Amino acid sequence: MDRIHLLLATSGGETWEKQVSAVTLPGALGSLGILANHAPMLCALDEGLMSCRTEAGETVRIRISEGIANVADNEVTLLLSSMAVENK
Amino acid sequence: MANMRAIRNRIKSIESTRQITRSMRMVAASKLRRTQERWQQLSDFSRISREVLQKLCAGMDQTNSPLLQPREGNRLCLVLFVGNRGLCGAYNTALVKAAEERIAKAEGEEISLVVCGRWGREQIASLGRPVLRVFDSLSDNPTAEEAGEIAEYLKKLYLGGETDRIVLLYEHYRSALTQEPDFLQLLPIESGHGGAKLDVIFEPDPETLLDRLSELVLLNTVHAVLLEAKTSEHTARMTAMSAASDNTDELIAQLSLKLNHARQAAITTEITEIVGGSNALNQK
Repeated sequence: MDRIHLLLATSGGETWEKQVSAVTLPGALGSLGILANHAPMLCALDEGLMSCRTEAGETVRIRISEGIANVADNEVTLLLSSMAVENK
Repeated sequence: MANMRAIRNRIKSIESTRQITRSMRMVAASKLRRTQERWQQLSDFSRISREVLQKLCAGMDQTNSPLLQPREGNRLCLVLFVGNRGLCGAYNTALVKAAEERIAKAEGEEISLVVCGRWGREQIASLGRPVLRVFDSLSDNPTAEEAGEIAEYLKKLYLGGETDRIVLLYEHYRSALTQEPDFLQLLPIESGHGGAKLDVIFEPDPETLLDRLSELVLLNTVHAVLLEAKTSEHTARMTAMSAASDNTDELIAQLSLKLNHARQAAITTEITEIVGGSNALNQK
């Protein structure tokens, strides 16, 4: 298991999900990198740019609002009020 | 002849009513599809946010987060999600009746109202409770912005200390055939404190996380209830208009029969008159 299932969900019903190998998040205490097998964590997110590396090796950047990230069992779930994918 | 003309006019008028009810049914069906899709899209967020909230509150005896802390006071704000117009069967009246029953049951509670929807100012005024605000410009397919406006107002109302509890009253969509009034406590958010503490890293700390999450949960809950209420309203209107169209079909069939009887009677009278006239001429 060296893959992470990344899911972004907004309170307005928008969702975006992908299998990725690494995620970088704008945490409230600074930038935060998450790899597979990370310890369970709940983290506050600031508004900013997050990025993830897909299985194909591409980097996807998504602009996100303030929110919260839930990391558990190789699943990273971001609860946000809005998001916008900058490149696919 | 006058009778036949009256029946024909009546059939024509019922046919035009049928056209209106059929179009209203089709409009409601198309609005229903869109609203229902958007409502179902919100379910992922609702489920995950509930799980995270439980995880956050596990092992906590109490919280200082203002949106989650229960209050002692007895002021209750009831938020009514009525429709923008009528012609949807018992949808609106059932809601007002549920509000009436809730008010009758209130023991020592000070109840105030917030109304989302344009319908029934008089009926709502007859409940005899102060109406704090009416959101009368909501669309038939409510957006996140519209939900945000309501959520922000209710949050301010609660944090400003004007009420101790906010309960949403809306038509719960049980199935395409059944919708019934339901109550949902919005504030304080019910989080289910207690339970075993989980081994989770909190960054920066549980209270900050709770504050952030409660804002999102509030917004999502209002949006989901707004969309569910609209889904129920469109379904109720579709059913009502479908029944009305069926009734017009029945009425037209009855009137056509009546018209044929009248026509037959007129023809018979005419033949009798002709035969009578011809007999009289022959006798001369």
